[in-house]
Parts: sequence; structure tokens; C-alpha cells
Amino acid sequence: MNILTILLAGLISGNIVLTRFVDISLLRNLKKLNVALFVGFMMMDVTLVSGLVFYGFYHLMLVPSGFAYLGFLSAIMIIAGVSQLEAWMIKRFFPNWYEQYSFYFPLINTNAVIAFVLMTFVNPAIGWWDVLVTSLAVPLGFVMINVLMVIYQERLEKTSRIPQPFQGLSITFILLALVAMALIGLGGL
Amino acid sequence: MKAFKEAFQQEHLVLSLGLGLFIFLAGSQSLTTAWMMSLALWINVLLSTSILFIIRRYLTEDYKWIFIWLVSGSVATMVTMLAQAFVPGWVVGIELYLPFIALSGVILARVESVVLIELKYQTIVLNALGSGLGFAMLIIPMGIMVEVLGQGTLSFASPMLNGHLSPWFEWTILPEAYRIPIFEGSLGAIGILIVAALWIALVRQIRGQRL
Repeated sequence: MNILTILLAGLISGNIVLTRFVDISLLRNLKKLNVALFVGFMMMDVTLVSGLVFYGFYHLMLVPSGFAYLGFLSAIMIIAGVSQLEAWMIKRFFPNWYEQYSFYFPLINTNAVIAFVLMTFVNPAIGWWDVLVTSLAVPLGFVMINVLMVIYQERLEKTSRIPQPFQGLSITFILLALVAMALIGLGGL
Repeated sequence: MKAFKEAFQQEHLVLSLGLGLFIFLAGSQSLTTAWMMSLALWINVLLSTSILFIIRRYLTEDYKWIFIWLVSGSVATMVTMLAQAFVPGWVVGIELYLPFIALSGVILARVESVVLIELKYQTIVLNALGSGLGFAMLIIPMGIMVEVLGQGTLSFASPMLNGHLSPWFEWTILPEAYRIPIFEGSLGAIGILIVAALWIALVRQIRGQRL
């Protein structure tokens, strides 16, 4: 698969939030633009590093030794280790960012988006280059939807026309459903 | 019974706080997937909390989360493999999502409470039963609604994938022209479900104020 195909699939036609509903509850916690962007890019970073580590560990160690069924468990442990390491590095080298965003680090430790991406790497047809691009494209799709929802919610809070039962979570899901239906039309790309 | 009631009612946190929404939406595509997801969740909660109950005295504060992930991930993997082996017909469409029960807020909240709080095993079992039942009472009607309004049919698959075995039942409810596209995926359905729940709450509140 070429890079453009993987990027478009990650962003639009195969968007992980809209087509697979992965970690949709995280959208409720990230309500500010700066937080959404920071967590999104941390996720991209952790996905890239843990994706490369997991791909090598799975195909070079687990599969040859007959322990392929331990893939999911090893993916969780690798994600936890890499995210803890990155949290430590941010605390060491960027203490201001750590102070501002440390509340959101546990959201990355047990992040289903990263685990979902890693589980797609168990396919033997995928190469290192695909791993690299997918690790960037899929979290970028998550960031895109998150930023979209933050902007929508900011605009909706300013309007008083929404009936009370629709406010909050319900209008968010209806909006996501409409965005998903719109993006289905781009699936032919 | 208090533990059972609390856990049962708390599952409505799926709608109000969004815990476990990923597996909720992934499993509510049809009646069969909803049933299998609630069964898998119940078994996961019961086994994970039981194992952590046994080993909780040996867990230190620094390493408790590693063991929580290890136990819940192992149980989820085991449940997925058993389901694929013994009831493959029920797993079609959700085999990719079943291991992710280990990462849902529903499971993590339960297992963390076992590690942090001194509870009797009876309380833990009742809590697990309540969680599973509460989740099932939300996801199964949701699955029925998505299948009937989005696909126009209601069916329940045979647990075996053997092609000679037909589904346990398969009814066509809505003609194709009357199917509602927004209900084909669970996102629109859950939005409308939340609207309905909040609308009922609002009407009750207004009636209460008038009295």
C-alpha cells in the first residue's frame, strides 16, 4: 500500500473513531484545543515507538516461538512501558508541559487507539514502512476528529437553541454519526 | 444485595459518563453481538476480580497497575480464544473487539476497587453479576434497536459457524425503503437513546415541579 492510501485511510475512510468507535469516550475528556493537540501528538509518538517495538517483538520472537496468542498482552505491556518512559522524559526535559498536562498521561497508558493500531500489525503482509506510516496516520485521524469535536462543542455552547435533552453527550454522538455518514461517501477514494 | 444493586445501577454510567463506550458501541451492532459482548464482559469482570482478589495482598502500590493490566489482559485473551473455539457463530463481527474489554473503563474501575478496598468475595461476585446484568440491559435493547431500525431484520445466530445450521431465528421487520440510515451504525442510535432518556428525565422533573 502506498503512503497516500494509508494516510487517507487513517484520516478519512478508515477513521478509527468513526468506523471502529475506538476510544470514543476520550473525546469527552479532551475539551480544550491545546489539550486535544498535546494528547493527540503524545499518542502519535507512543504509537510510533510502541508500534515499531511490538512489530519486531511479535514477528521476530512471539511467532517463531509459537506464542502468537500472547500478542494482545504483550502489546498492552509495551504501550504501558513506552508511555511511562515518555512521561518520564517529558517530566525531565519539559517540566512546564508535565505540570500542565500530567493529568492526561494515564489516558495514554490504557489507550485503546494505540492497542488497536498495534493489533493490526500482527498481519504478516505488513512491512516496516507500513507500520511507520500507519502509526502516524491513525492517531492523526483521531486528533482530527477530536479537534473537530472541540470546535463544534465550543460553537454549540455559545448557542441557546439546543433543547436541554440534546445538550452534552447526546448532541456529540449525533454529530459524530452525521460526520461518519458524510465520510462514508469519501470511502471510494 | 446492595453491591449487586449498586453495580447494576452504575452501568448506566455508560450513558452518562461514557465509561466502556467503545465496547458498548462495537457490540451493539445486532442482537447477537450485543449478547456476546455482554456475556464476555460479565465473564471478564468475574474472572479478573476473582484473580485480583486472590493476589491483592501481594501487590505493592508501585506495581499494582502492571498486575491489573496483566491479569485483565490475560483474562480477555483467554475469553476471546475460548469464544472463538466454542461459540464461533456468536463472535462473528466482534472478534477484533473482544480483547479490548480489558481496556474498558468498566473493567478497570471494578478491578481497581478490588485492589484498593477490602471487600468480601461475596461482594465482589455480586458486584460482577450486577455489572454484567446492567451492561446487558443496556446493550441488548440497543443492539435490537440498531438491527431493526438500521437493517430491518432481527436475528440471533447459531453459536456454531457450521454452514448447515441456520440462525436460531431470523425475522424481517422493516421493508428496505423504511430503514433509517442514521441507525445503521451505533453512533446515531446511542445519541438518540440518550436524548430519549434525558427527555423522560426532563418531563418527570417538570411534572414534579408542577405537583
